[in-house]
Parts: sequence; C-alpha cells; structure tokens
Amino acid sequence: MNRPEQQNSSIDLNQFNQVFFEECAEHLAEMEQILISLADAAPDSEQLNAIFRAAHSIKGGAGIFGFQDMTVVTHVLESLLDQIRNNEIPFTTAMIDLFLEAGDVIAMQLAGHRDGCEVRQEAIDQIRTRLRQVIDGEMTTAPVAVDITAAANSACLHADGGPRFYELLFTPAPDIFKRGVRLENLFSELEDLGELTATAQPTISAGLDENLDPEICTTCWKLTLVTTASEADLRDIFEFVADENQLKVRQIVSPQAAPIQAAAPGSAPPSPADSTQNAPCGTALIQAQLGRRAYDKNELAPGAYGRRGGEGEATIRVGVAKVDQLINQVGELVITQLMVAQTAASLDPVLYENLHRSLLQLERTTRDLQQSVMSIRLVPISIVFSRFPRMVRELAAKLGKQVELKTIGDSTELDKGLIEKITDPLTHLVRNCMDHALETPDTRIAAGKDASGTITLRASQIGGRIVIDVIDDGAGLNRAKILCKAAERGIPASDSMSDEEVWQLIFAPGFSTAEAVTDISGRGVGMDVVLRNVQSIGGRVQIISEQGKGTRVTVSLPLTLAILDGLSVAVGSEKFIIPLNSITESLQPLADSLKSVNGKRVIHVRGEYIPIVPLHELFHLKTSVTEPEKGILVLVDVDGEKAAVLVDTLLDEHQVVIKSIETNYRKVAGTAGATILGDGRVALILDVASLLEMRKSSAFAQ
Amino acid sequence: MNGKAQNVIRICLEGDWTMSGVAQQFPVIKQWFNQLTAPAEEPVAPELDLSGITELDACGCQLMLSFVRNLQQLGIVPLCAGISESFNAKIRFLGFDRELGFLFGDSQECP
Repeated sequence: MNRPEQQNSSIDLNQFNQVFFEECAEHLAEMEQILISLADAAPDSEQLNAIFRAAHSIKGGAGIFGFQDMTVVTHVLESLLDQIRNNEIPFTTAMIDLFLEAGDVIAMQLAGHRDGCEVRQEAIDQIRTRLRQVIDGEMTTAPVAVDITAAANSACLHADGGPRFYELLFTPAPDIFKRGVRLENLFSELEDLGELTATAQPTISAGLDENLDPEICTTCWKLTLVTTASEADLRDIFEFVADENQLKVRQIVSPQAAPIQAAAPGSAPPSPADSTQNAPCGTALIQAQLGRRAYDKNELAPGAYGRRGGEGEATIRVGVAKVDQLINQVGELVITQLMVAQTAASLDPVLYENLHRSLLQLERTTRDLQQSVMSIRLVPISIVFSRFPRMVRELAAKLGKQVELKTIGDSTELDKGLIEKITDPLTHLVRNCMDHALETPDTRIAAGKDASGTITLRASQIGGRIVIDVIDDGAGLNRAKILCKAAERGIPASDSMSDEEVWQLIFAPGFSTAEAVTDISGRGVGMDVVLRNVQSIGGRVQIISEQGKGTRVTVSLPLTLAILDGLSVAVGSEKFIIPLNSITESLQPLADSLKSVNGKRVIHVRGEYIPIVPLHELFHLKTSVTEPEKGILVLVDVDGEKAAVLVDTLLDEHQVVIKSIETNYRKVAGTAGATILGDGRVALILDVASLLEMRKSSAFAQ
Repeated sequence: MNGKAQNVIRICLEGDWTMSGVAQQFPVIKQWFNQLTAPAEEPVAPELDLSGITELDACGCQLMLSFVRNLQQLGIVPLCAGISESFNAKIRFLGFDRELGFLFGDSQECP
C-alpha cells in the first residue's frame, strides 16, 4: 500500500544534483570571465554585483542540495564581496587573483562531488584563511603580490593540514634561457606556495674558449620547499618548463619534522625586482562580436530559432542524449521523405497535383524541422574561447612575456560535439603560441616590435564550414631549421618544397618536441596530435607563417557532423555526393580547353589551368565516360586549391544525412561518409580535400 | 698573507647580465680572463666591481660563475669590490649564493 509513497520519496536526487552542478559550473565560469576581463582594473558596481550574485547563488545552491562543505569558501567569499560592495573594504587588484583562486577551490569541491575527484582540504583551509585575513584587515592587499605571498606563507605555516617538505631536482633543458624562461619567475611562483630555498649546482666547463655558449644552461637546481601544496601543484608550475625527466620531486620528511620558521615580515627571501608579481603580464581581453549564427542569420525565419536572441528567456535543460536521439529520428524522417518524393515523382503531376503540392510542403517543413533540431546542439564558440584569457594571463606571468589576447567572432555557433573535440587542439595551439611563438619583451623590442605580443582567436563561418584562426605575431616558423630537423628525422623533404609544404612537416609525429626548432612546436604537445584530433572530426589544419612576423594556424571544421547539402553525381552505376559548399561550377568541357601538363590532364578555365580528377580512376569504377569531353567536370575549390572532378552526369541537389561508413563498413579513402538516397541506395559522400590530396599522392599519380 | 706583492686589478663588470646581454658580456670576461691568466711577474689579485651591472638573471649568474670558477682553478682568487643589495638578493634567490658567496661580504675571499 505504501509503494507509491515510497516511489515518491525515493526520487532520484541525482538528477537534481546534476542541475546544481551545471549551474554551479556556470556561475564559476561567469565569475572567472568577469574577473579576467578586469585585467588590473577595479570592477564597476555591476560587475561586482555579478560576482557577488555568482558566489551567493553557489552558496545558496550548495546549502539547498546538501553540499555544506561548498558553503565554507563561498560564505567567506560572499562576505568579503559584500563588504567591498558596501565600500567597507577597498578593492585592490590583488583580490582578482585571490578570487580566481577561490573560484578554483570551489571548482575543485564541485569536481569532488560531481566526478569523485580528490578534494584537498588544505587548499580549502588556505583560501578561507586568506579571504578571512582580508576581511579582518590582517592582510593588506597592496602591494598585491607581496601580501598574497605573505598570506600564502602564513596560511601554509598554520594550515590545519600541516606543511610538507619537498625536495625538487630541476635539470632544465639547455635551451631554457634561449626560450626566454625567467627562472626567477618560476622560483617566485614556488615561493608563493611556501618557504623556498634554492641551490644552484652548475657544471662549469674548463676555460672560457669559443666552445662555451653563455646562453646554454649548464646548471641544475636543488630546491627545497615547505608548503601545504600538493606535488601536482608544484609540477603545475613547471608545466611548460620541464618534462618528467627534467623535474624530480620527492617529499622527504613528515610535515612535523620539517624545519619551519615563522616568517617574520621582511625576513622571507627578497623577491627579485622582476619577479612574477611585477612581471609584465599585461594580458588584456578584447572581444569583438563578429560571429555569425551557423544556420540562419534571420532569427524570425522558419527554422531559425533565436535561441540566443533572448538570453533572458526561460530555458529548459535537456540531456544531450535526448537531443541526439531527436536528430537521428529527424535524419530518418528526411530519408523517408526523400523516398516518398522519389516514388511520387513517377506519378502524373496533373492527376496527383494535390499530392505533389503536399509533398513540396512536407519537404520544406522537414528541412526546417531538421535545421531547428540541429540548432539545438549549436553552442557559441565563446564557451571555448572563454577559457583562454585566464590561461594566457597565467602563462604570460610564468613565462615572463607580455601577451594580449584578442577574440573575434565569439558568438559563432557550432555543434556541441565539435566544441568538445576542438577544445583540446585549440588549447594546444594557444599554449604553443605562448610558449614558443611569442618572444620575450626584450627580444621583441630588439626586433623592432611592440614589447607585448598578440594572440588572436578568430572564429567565423565561411561557406559550409566553421573556420577558427589562431594568429600570433611572434617569431614565425623557421623554414631552414624545419627542413634541417626533417632531414635529421628522416622525413622526406627538400629545399624545393614550397613554404606551405614545409610547414606541413611539423605535423609529422614526433616533430614538435622540445628539441624541435619550430617556433610553434610545444614541449610534449605534438602538432601531429592537433592535426589528428582535428581530422577526426572532419576538420583541416592550415599554416601560414612569415619569419619574424608571425604565424596563422587555421582550423577548418564542418558546421555539423550530421547533415550537408550536396550534389549527387553518377559515375558508371555508382552515385556520389559532392558537398555543395566546395563546388564553384560545373561544365561540359570543349576539346580545345583540355590540355596536358607534365602528363596530367588539366582544363583551361578563364586563364587558369585546373587539374582534372577522374573519379572512375580514383575508385576503380567501370564507366563509358573516361574522357573529360564526354562527361561533366565539377569544379571544386577547397581553401583556394582547385580541381575539376570528372563525372558521368549530374543528378540532383540534396540535403543528405551523413552516416559513418567507417562504423558500418570501413574507412574509404577520399570519402567523408555515406548517405542513403531516396531510392534506398547508399551513396558515398566525397571529401574533396582528401580527394585533392589523393590526386597529389604518388600512388594516384602512378 | 704570504707577504708577496700582488698586482691588484679592478675589474668593472657593467650592463646587462641577463640572457639578452650575456653574448655581449662573454667577450669582455674572456678578455679579462686572458689578461689575468697571462704570465706575469707578480701574482694578480682581481677585484670584481659589480656595481655597474644593470640587470642580472640566472643566465648571467652562470656566466659570472664560469668566470670566477675558471680563475679559481688557476689559483686566482677574486675579491668583491661592490655589488648592489638587490643583485645580492637575486643571487641568493636563484641559489648561486654558495658558489658566489664571496660577493656577500665586503671584500671577502672566494670560498
């Protein structure tokens, strides 16, 4: 009898928790975004209120959902923000870092509840102490860094978790100085975590002869640190400076045994004048709203949804799996509609006029429905871009560089699945820009550049693709060194290669390591990994670089992974789909416009010689149309590269639902998937860029 | 204090002793090194005056140490004739105080 009641009382709280987790993450992101956008300026009242509201909402939600531990930091944070709002405590720029760190701690707690990640109690205690010190006036926040350091030390010494004693053996790469890494900045960051003692252990060569290169690092350091921070925190500081072999960390004695001395004011090792705190890190965020909606620019048109038009409108949260299911079902509906349309095409248009009219209406509605459903999965790329200002800010400080980050086209929308998969490659690219491409202020000034470098992230929709550019005004790629490195690694390369071909060499596995000389390569982060990840979602990567002026890495992605507009063509008994966005025109060539260059057929079109790609040869198909003048040439253009695809005939224009051929069959070179046509047959969807690559490859040439 | 007469040579190191400047400093110290290690009737007693240094980093410390250590290996013991407090602090901070400890006291001998 009590069964229904039991069911009611056993409502799955997990789904409510999930709502809290998502909202909490959004509040944290909002808080971080505002803090980062401040650069070093004070927030206006609106910004301050927004930060306060975020902290307040997190605290309230945590209390309601029973995550009491999460109210600990948010409570102190909220109190401090409230007093700042009421002008009881003056805002100082040092508080930006403090609030960001508080946000990190709350995020850690959130991850602990949501994903079961480790939660470091000492970090919670430390940030709470520091926030409390500001409220109590024990910690003045000007000058910024010194006081934060002092607070960190103080918190470290008195934290409930107790300090730990670490010994670090740091053996930097020989080129660490040349890379512009300022060790004093690095050590300052360590010092922020606790009490640091450094001992240099140099290897000095005998004599001061020509063999001695003063810019090569031959010193290693033994560092001892008393801190409450974890080993991971320490390693984080060395993230872009040392790999595993270059940094050994061990905890050597129990916290109690660590010889801790209370750090009296002024008794700590003096920070160098150009320490992290004073290091130029004038990171600024400049945002321009130039993005375009992916599907329809007219918010009021059928199938255009204005989903982001009214941000204040009520929203509902729906699981991604449900949306995906909806997309699949609509995809099937499109195929069915095509089948019906094809069957109806054979019926007399006069006798079945009403049927034909209804089918046309059905086609329009189906197409609108499909676009509407697809748009549910679209999210603005600002979700990815918003993570970079903080990363750039922190890396700039760590590397002793001045960097301005510009983002353009933040509102450009792309599929949620693509967003998730493009985040890592973009992060790698930005990190590589910071670490290698951008020079130190001194080097930049010596090169006649502004001391501050610029990284621009630009998203836009071009044709049927989303294009994301990562642009830096750093040193650019060094052609000679890349060729040299390629030769060392046995990668086929020659001086006669074009710049574009040379830049592609850095995508070779293992090329982009620390000893690699490319200015874009990252230690431990290979460009090959970036390329592989981008290609896995149907994307392409292009590099344009000019030595001394900078580099532009262009990542081009399909709008969505689910549908595309295509032209169906026939070759023999087979049908193919060519994506419409790559087609410029189609023509039946005259014999005198066909030429042969280096043994390859080309067509002369308005002063240009365009290579011919015969599909039947590529896919080994039997057809009666083997000569261009007997068939149709479909001219395609991919990122400026043109080709003329030879087919037997053009059939129709379709919006096709992309099905993975790899999942259901196997990877077929030159294709981007398959689709089911109205007659139920399977047609391969051509990947034009891949086709052009195949044409150039020696295998195809043979 | 063996009473032997010593030829005191004051070496003024100046300018940028960071990664950006070591390439320019290297020929200078090399020249001093060659001069100090050239055959001479009297032993030389170099005094390092570092008060003209405007910038210093780990790369500069390493080069300076290279200079001092090579002199030491030939039995030439430099003295410190002046260094600013901030660079003194920086050398400690970067962990070169053990190797360049003689810089920390007025005219103390190299260890």
